[in-house]
Amino acid sequence: MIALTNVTKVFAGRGHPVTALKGVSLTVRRGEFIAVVGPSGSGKSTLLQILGCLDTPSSGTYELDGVSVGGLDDDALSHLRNQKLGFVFQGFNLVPRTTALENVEVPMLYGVAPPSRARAEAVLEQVGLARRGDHFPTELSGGEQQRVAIARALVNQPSLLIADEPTGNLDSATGDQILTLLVDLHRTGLTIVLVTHDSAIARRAERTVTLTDGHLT
Amino acid sequence: MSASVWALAGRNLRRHLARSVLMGIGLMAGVVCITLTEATGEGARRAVAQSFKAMIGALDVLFVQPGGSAQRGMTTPAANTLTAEDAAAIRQAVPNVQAVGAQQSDLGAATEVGAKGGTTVLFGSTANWANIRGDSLASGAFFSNEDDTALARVAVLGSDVAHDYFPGSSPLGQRIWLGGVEFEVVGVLAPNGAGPGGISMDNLVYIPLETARRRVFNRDNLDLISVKLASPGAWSETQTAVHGLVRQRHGLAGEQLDDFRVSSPRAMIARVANVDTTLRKALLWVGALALLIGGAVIANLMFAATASRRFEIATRRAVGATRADILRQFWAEAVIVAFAAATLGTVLAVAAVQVGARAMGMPLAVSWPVTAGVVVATVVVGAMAGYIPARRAARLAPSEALRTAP
Repeated sequence: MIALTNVTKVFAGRGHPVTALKGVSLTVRRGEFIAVVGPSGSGKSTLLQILGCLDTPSSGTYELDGVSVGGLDDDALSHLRNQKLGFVFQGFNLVPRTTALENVEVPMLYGVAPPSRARAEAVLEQVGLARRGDHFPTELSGGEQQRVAIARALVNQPSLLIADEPTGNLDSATGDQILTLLVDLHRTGLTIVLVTHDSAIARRAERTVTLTDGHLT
Repeated sequence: MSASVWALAGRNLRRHLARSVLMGIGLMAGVVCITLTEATGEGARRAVAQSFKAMIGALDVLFVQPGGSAQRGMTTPAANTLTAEDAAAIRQAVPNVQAVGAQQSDLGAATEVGAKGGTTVLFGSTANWANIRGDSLASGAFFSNEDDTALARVAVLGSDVAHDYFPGSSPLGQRIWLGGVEFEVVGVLAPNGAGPGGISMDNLVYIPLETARRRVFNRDNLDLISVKLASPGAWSETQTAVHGLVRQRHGLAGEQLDDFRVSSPRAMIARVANVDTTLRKALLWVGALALLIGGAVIANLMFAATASRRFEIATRRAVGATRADILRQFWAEAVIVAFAAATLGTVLAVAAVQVGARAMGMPLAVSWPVTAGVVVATVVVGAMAGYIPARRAARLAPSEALRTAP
């Protein structure tokens, strides 16, 4: 499903280059729910960018669903993100002045198939927000906004859901509900990679890997 | 671009209405300014064309007149070499000719009805003259070819003459003395209105050409040949052909100056209706400048929007939008704003022209080709102004979406 092999990412910093990932190898099987933990500065964000096809490795290989990501151009990466990946961000990242339903429809705008309102309504119902479709983000609570974001991540039926500190902006009770939703989704067969600095949250996953100073342990 | 791009751009514009209005208002001012300025010019042009039409009837004609135009600083002496045979030859030999009329004239012919006397403009014309001019008759009929051949003493009066000499009664069948010869009135023309300079085009009388030649003027040379064109667009080629034929018939070789001239009313109107005054030019420049500033405003607001929407852009990229998708979305917003501004500006300007022309009687008229051109130019300005901010938006890295929300 996911195979990172000896992945290194080097950023051309000021004066001297900065190596954020140092020979990271990681395999995630289909249907697995894994948590990546590590303190800030450990390279979590960089790993997330590579896994999320938002950036490509400096060396090493990344295979996603049998596709080698390394050699792809920007358009192919966009297409891959659209078809195979779903993102859940810490800050929800909903498009402002755009209703919940319209936010869920956003990935479909860039897909192969024509956008389907029925499909958007179905995933919104799946995350428990069937009646909030015509609300704007400012009219929704933090937990509701994150549910909309999860619905948006699911709408194109991705192979992999990537969640970056999905409860970081939520109170603990609401955060717990979101985690429960993710666990439920995992039970339906969804592959999830969750990135967090909180080991209590990581315990909800099946497996935990730890990133320290660019090395995976 | 797919329909959803336009729909999405339209939705974004509606949800940021204040910004959208600010984006378009400069372009709209430019469109209004240019359209109104152009309307004053078009109004003036139409007024001139109208007065010329009163003078010469139809515009799809060429005129052949005796006497050459000034050449190399010398004017040829007034010639009397233009003949009915020239007219017949033009009808036969020149292509694109529908009809040829011939005319003699006396600009101050003595006119008498009973005790009342004065002068009128007297024309001896071929029977097809009213047709060529497009004149219509208020009563009676124009004389016929048979009247012409028979040297019939019949006259058709201009509406002023009819009104002046036969007030309150029908002139048809009445007698009128023209140039010392008695005629019977057979028709009265519908009023033509004023010609250039406000001169009445109704103080005139038509009699058959042959009658004029043999009974009144006693000469053979013509004062005017009117050539009606089958296809008015090709007037320039026909003018050259007529000119060559008449030169040949008049035996004019190489260096010899013309003893006649061929002119087109369209060319005359274009000269007279030259309305590009300094004020109009200045206003057109103001309009163009407003369009330019409108373009700058669009670019500026879109740069600002790109900065404040970078999170949205990065998120769209993260969920699958390509650079081209982002470019198209932002660009579509600029194009829609420009098109809406152009449409609204045109509607406002046309409404103002209608009010000015109908209610206040100002010489204003909308020139639709110019209006269409202004709309196109405005959309082009908007598209150009929107392109660079849209491209900048498209270049934003999708990994920006992972940063913590502002």
